[in-house]
Amino acid sequence: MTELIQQLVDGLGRGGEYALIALGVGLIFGVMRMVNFAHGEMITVSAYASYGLFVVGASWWILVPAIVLTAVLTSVLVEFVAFRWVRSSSDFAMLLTSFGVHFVVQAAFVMFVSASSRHFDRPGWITSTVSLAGIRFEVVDLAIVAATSVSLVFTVWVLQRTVYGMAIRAAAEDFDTARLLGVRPDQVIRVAFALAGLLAGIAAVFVLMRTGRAAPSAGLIPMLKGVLAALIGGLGRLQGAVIGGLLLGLVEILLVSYLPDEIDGMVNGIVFVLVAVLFIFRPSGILSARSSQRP
Amino acid sequence: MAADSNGVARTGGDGDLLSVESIEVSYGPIRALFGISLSVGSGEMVALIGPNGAGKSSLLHAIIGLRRPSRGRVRWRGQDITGLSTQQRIRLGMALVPEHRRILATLTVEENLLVGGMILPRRMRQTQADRMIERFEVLKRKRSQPAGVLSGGEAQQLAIARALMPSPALLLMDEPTLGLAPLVATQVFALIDELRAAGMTLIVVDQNARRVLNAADSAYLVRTGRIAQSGSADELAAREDIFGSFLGGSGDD
Repeated sequence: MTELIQQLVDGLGRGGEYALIALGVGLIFGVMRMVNFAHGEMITVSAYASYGLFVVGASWWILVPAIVLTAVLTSVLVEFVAFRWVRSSSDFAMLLTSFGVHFVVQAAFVMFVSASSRHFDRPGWITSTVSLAGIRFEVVDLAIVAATSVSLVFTVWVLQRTVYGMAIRAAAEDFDTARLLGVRPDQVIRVAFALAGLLAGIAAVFVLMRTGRAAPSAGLIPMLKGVLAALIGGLGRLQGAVIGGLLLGLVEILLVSYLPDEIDGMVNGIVFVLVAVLFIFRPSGILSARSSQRP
Repeated sequence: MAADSNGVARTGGDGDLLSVESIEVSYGPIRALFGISLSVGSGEMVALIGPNGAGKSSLLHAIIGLRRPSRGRVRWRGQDITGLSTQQRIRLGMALVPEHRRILATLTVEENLLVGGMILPRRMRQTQADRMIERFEVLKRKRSQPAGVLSGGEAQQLAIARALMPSPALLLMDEPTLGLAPLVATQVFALIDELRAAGMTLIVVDQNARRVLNAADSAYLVRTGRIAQSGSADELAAREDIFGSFLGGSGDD
């Protein structure tokens, strides 16, 4: 029982990271109908920013806000430099552009920094544990669960209660009508990218605390997991992204815990098979999007 | 440009709230409007009639800025606004009730109104939404429900209320009675009369040509992207031949 609770918290921690990334993927899909394969680049750029700051002696008190800020700026910058030009092009052109951004950023770090990864110190408390009600938890897991909950509540608040959030939801449902009501396309897309960057930045903090590593492909796996989580939940459904992320994290941790050690390396493969089975029964994910026609 | 001076000569008057001067609109290689000009004075109601696909919606889209004309100008109180965005035009005082209502189904009734008031300052936005909810009885009961649950007539009321959020001087209506039961359509026309009485300027496209001509001051018959006839609404209503040709769908001029 104790072990199961530990695993659930572990799974929620990992799932929370995925949920933060998936929510950003979902937000951008909502306003642009584009699956952003460059979503991990926010994490990659943040990783190198932390490495750079670490080299000059900055502590994690500085690294945390720097990571989040870098992710937000990267997200907004990528939209401004790359995506705004293909906004009204075909879905395929947008998809290719997002791949292009991913490869350009990766290549830039290989060329101008190094193909091998750079390491920096993880915070001292990252491996420490606390005991709650007789159960030992890793501090980092609890921190992720707390930060994720706060971020998700904040995102829901922005989307439900602010006029920018309403504009994002309006644009996600029917961009032309939103425009007709006075929603400025530039503005709503920029706000969506900034919010997606913020969420990815918070996820990046924990990814980097755990790994302490900057590599040209640092954002690749988190991005793939985020896109997968968004697909599991139902692309375009923001609650779906959260559910998909948490579910993916939990399933991964449970598989790692209960599968025999010899087939541990198969976890990702098994996850993909499970997702494929899910899609047989629910082709558009757990919460299928009601309105996903492109404006 | 010759086309422009033509337009100015044809429309022109300083008293016009809005004038459209020989605009052309294309969708890719397909031309939808061929040099259309029209004007509407403050407090006036203009009816646009014509067969399906004649370009009436394209004309409304060009007026509100959803479509950029390849030639011609749109003027607001005499000022050239051809280059302005939709948002800027809404700020000037125009609004469109789109064809098929285009209610945002996943947003609540109230949220639809609030988005409709995007351009208003925050405080005014809520006050104005409350005012609309008071004014349109059906919206009160369903204020916090997703707008997707509304019936056709209710959705049309919401679409109109949403367009009225920024208190426009000119309201463009694209097929406001399409798909509505006759009784509900009558209610929509009663609302149009109410708006007119309050001094609102209107351009209305409606499939029910007789009814919209009956309500309007002046009218334009649009056919294959051109103005085929124009005049006072009474004049056009008296032309039986017009009804025959465009309701029958044979487009011989």
